[in-house]
Order: sequence, then C-alpha cells, then structure tokens
Amino acid sequence: MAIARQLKAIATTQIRNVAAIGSNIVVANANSDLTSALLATRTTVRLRSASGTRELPLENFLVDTYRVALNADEILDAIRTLYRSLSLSQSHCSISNVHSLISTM
Amino acid sequence: MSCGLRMLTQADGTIVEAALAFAGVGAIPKRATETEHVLHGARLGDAETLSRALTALARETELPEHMPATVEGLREYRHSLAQSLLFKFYHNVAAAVDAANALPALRFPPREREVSSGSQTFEDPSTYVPALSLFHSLTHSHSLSHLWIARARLFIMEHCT
Repeated sequence: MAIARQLKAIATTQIRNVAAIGSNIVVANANSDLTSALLATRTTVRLRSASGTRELPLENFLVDTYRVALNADEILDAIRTLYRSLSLSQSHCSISNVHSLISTM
Repeated sequence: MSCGLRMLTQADGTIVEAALAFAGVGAIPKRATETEHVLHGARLGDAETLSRALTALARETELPEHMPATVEGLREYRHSLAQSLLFKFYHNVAAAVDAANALPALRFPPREREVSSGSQTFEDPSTYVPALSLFHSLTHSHSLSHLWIARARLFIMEHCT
C-alpha cells in the first residue's frame, strides 16, 4: 500500500520506531508527509472522551497549522482509512483500478 | 511538501473517483477539490483532461503572499511542484491503464533508503580563539558573513572617528 511505502520515506528508522500515526496527525504540521496521504484515502478520525466518542472526517479535524478540532478532554482514539492492496502493475487486470501515489519532497 | 493522490478508473480510462491531497501549499494539508471535480468523469486518454486538471490545480494551489512560518519561502517552487507531481501521477496511472501508449520515461520507482548513520568529529576546544576570530582567516565558508561585519566595523572606525 502506498501509505506503507510513504512511511519509509519519513524521518529515519530510529525516529519512526518511536513515532505514531495519531500524533503525526494531531501535530497538524502544514508540511505533513503523512496527512496528505491520509486525506487522499477518505480517512476519518475517532475522538474519545469520558462521555463517549465522535468520528470526524480528517478534513474537518484539521483546523489550521498546529491546530486540530480536539477538545481538552479528548484523545485521538482510532483512524479509519481506505485500504486497497492493489499495486500499479496488478491493477490494470481488474475492471476498476485503484491507483495511488504519495510523494515527499 | 508532500502529496497523496488517488484515482479510481474504469478499464477504458474513465475516471470514476479522484482524491488529490497536498501538504505544504497552505496552512494545512488539504484536498484539491476543484481539480478533483475536473477529473471526475473525464477520460485519461483525452488530450485535454490533463491540461484542464493542471490549470485547475495551478489556480487552487496559488500560495498567499504571507504564509505561516512553516511553509514560508519557495512559493513558486511549491506551486509548480504540485503541478509536476500531478503530471507524474497522471502519467503513471495512464501507463497502468494503457501501457502501450504510455511514456516510458515517466515511470518512477519508489525510493529505497538504507538505515541512516552519521558521525561528527570535534576539534580540541583548547585550540579555539573566540575573542580574536575577527582578525583570523576564516576557512568556514558559512562564516564569511563575519568578514563583512569586520569590514563594516573597520569602515565605521575609519570614517566616524
């Protein structure tokens, strides 16, 4: 999957070993290497507080640079994203094709 | 700057769904919805599809004069890079759907990187002469600015005393 390939291009192995996808989203960096990929794959985030959970599309969760729609009593609990394991070379055999590309400069 | 680009196509090249997200061309990573709209229902093989999509993308990734500190600078570079990435992606998809008519030079294999390592060597700190650095030859090119400061000071000393 393209996201897995993209992850290999972010930071270094040592940093990736202690990093988490959720915190990468919550930091809301304008230049994020991962959020752009997740935006392209219909990602939603689940937010949990003591009173329950709510789910938001990632687009709506990202408010501004370093700002997300997370209340003080909430944590990011889960993310859901589209998953297709088709590679570019396999995809043209099927009726519907999924293509993805993620790039970091 | 980064992007996530996804397209769902039929075997004949009709684009059923396009999701194009870019980071580094605004305050927050965002979808290029206008461009997605242009691509939706268009055919990959049509000559106009790509140019119409690139025009739309150029319009909606126009960076404001004053950007947040994290994306400041390189406005033109970011603006053109977004179009370049879509251009490459489009050709990759076109090649997957119709290999016979694709441009072979536009296939981009994923980048592989080894685990990184590094080392740094420090000089003996007792040899440093910090107070007199202005009048020593400065071999470090980054420190050339110090020379200019030194010259400016000499100029002031000569003309203002």
